Amino acid sequence: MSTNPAEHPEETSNSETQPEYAQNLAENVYDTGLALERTALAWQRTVMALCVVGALVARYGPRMGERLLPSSFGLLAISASIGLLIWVRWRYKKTHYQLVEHHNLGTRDAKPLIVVVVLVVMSALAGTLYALRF
Amino acid sequence: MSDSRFPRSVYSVGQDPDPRFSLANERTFLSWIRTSLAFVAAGVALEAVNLPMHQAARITATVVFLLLAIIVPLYAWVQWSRNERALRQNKPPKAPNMAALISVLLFVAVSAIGIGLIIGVN
Repeated sequence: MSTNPAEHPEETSNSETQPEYAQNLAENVYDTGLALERTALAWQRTVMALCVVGALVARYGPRMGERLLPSSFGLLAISASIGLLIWVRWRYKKTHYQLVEHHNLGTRDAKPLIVVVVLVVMSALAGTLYALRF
Repeated sequence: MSDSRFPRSVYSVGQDPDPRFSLANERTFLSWIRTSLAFVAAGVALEAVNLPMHQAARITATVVFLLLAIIVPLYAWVQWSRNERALRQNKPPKAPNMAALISVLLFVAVSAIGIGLIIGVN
């Protein structure tokens, strides 16, 4: 007996929303190695680490006086992290649907990667400004 | 599909690999990013926490940590691009050619902390 909706696409073909197998993510993974799930969790860890570092820079940046730049970078990193956490979930769902339906990554590309690189380099520069007392 | 994806230098070559390989490459990139964030935290914490250590050693460690924090994300990006291109061309992934430099710099920073703490406040 199988209750896997992915094996009965005809039951969901009339739905205007996403098919049931795309809605019920936990029971319909693309591969048993959970590559996409592990990647989404890696993104979450990274974004949370970025948030913590942003808080660190925002907290200690202004301590040296009127150091607006480090604290601004820190606050930017925190704001971006909150947005990225929501986006990670959205991207996971989108890619999951694409993988189950079309067996590829669709339009998933490296734009978010370059955004993260920029945010981290900015945080590092803000930390440098603080450490060197600029 | 490959035309609109960024960066074109990666997606214009070869064919889409097994999605799991691309995802693994992405996770490796994210690991490097987290490593870099740890370096930022270490550099800032050394300045923020008033450790009883030699000043020159502390400054050395801080500068090296923050230098690493700037180098590593750029390296992560380059390495991701190289590996994704290799995957798309069905070639073996590239070796992490800057791992030795990063290890040496990390060794310098940690040694500076150790020596600075042993010498103490001058």
